[in-house]
Amino acid sequence: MKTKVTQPSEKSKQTPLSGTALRVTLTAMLLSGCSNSTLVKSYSLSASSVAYTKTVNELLDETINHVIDVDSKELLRTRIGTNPKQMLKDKNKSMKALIGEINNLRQQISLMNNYFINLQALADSTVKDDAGVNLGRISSRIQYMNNRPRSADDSTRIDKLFSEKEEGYISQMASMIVGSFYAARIETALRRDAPIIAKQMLIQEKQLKVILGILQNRLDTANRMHLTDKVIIPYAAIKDPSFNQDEWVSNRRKWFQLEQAAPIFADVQAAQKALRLAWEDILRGKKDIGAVDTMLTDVNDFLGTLHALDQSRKDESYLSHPLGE
Amino acid sequence: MSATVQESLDSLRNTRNVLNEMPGNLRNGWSLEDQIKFADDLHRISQRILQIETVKMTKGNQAFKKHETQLKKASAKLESFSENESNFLLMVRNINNSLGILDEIVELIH
Repeated sequence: MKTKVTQPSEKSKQTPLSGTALRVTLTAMLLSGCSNSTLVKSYSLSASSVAYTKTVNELLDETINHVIDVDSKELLRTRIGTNPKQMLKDKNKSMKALIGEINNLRQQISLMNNYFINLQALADSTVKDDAGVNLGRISSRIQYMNNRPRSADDSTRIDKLFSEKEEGYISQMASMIVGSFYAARIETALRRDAPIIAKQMLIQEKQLKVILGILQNRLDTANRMHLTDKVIIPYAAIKDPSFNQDEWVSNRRKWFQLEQAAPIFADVQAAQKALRLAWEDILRGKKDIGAVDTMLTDVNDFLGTLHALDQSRKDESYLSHPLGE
Repeated sequence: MSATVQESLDSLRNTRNVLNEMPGNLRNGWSLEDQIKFADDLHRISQRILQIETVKMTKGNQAFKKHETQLKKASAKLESFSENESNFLLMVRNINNSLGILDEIVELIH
């Protein structure tokens, strides 16, 4: 039963992407903001942003569900511990902290989505002297959310997230803007918001990496529990009169299916990185079109598969075997 | 530096997996005291994993800087019990005896 486990490590799941692949649909976002007033592919601005936000929200939901489920199954295993009531209380507190942070990220991603939609609206605006007041409010909100301390000893929270090199990258963002490419009102907004948005994207990139590691780990843990409780233990209990052969065959098949549902974790990270590089392209006024939509499609397929498999496993009353937990 | 934190997390997750895979019917044959030790081991390790994951997400790897070596050492020690001890009962007892250090380090980071 005891086996050496090779954990899926967060650091090993990154996929190097070519520069071409990272020229993203979002680049088209600001084409409508060009000084020549073209509206070519302006739809991509809000469409890509909305699609990305929806996908990441689903991923965050899946992560929260799996974290809670695995934790609850473990709590059932540890009920006999020294102080069950205190153990449950401690776990609830830790879970709330983690879920709270995941939901903070959700809020930030939603703000980013609003920012891009409003940037598009500003680019599309026919109102003369439209200063994009909403856009300014949103970027201020993003900046505030990133810099606010969460507790007295937490004032350097965001600073800790960035290396010196990354701080340098953020501070250089405004200088990337090609002034002559955009209408004056867009250029003003971009100069103001470039470092704020870049910083936010870097934060999201880092936090998503951690979240994907957590989701990957909980999927792995859930699969191991399934194998132990529903496949190995019933099979080894040769004298158990309640052994149901059909159910066992089905459970074993499900374990193989779960193992083979190769998660596309790297694609989510790639999509997030692509968004950040697209933001650079927007600032530089480049017109390249990239692959975010394709990657998002893959990720959505994965989420659909994950949900279906998980549902089928839950339908089989996961913890019911008398010799299991 | 970040690799050290991730390695510590992986060690703890590996140890948790071994405990999770321990059959319930085997544990039922143990003394009540050892069954409680098993439950405490699994609870404390998964609790510390949750706390490390939360800190990693909110503060990044820099938050671990002062204690990352100690964290790596404590996590590796727990993992070594789960890897090298073929007797489940001794494994559970050894882990139980070594969890105090992990608790102290994570409290300092947390």
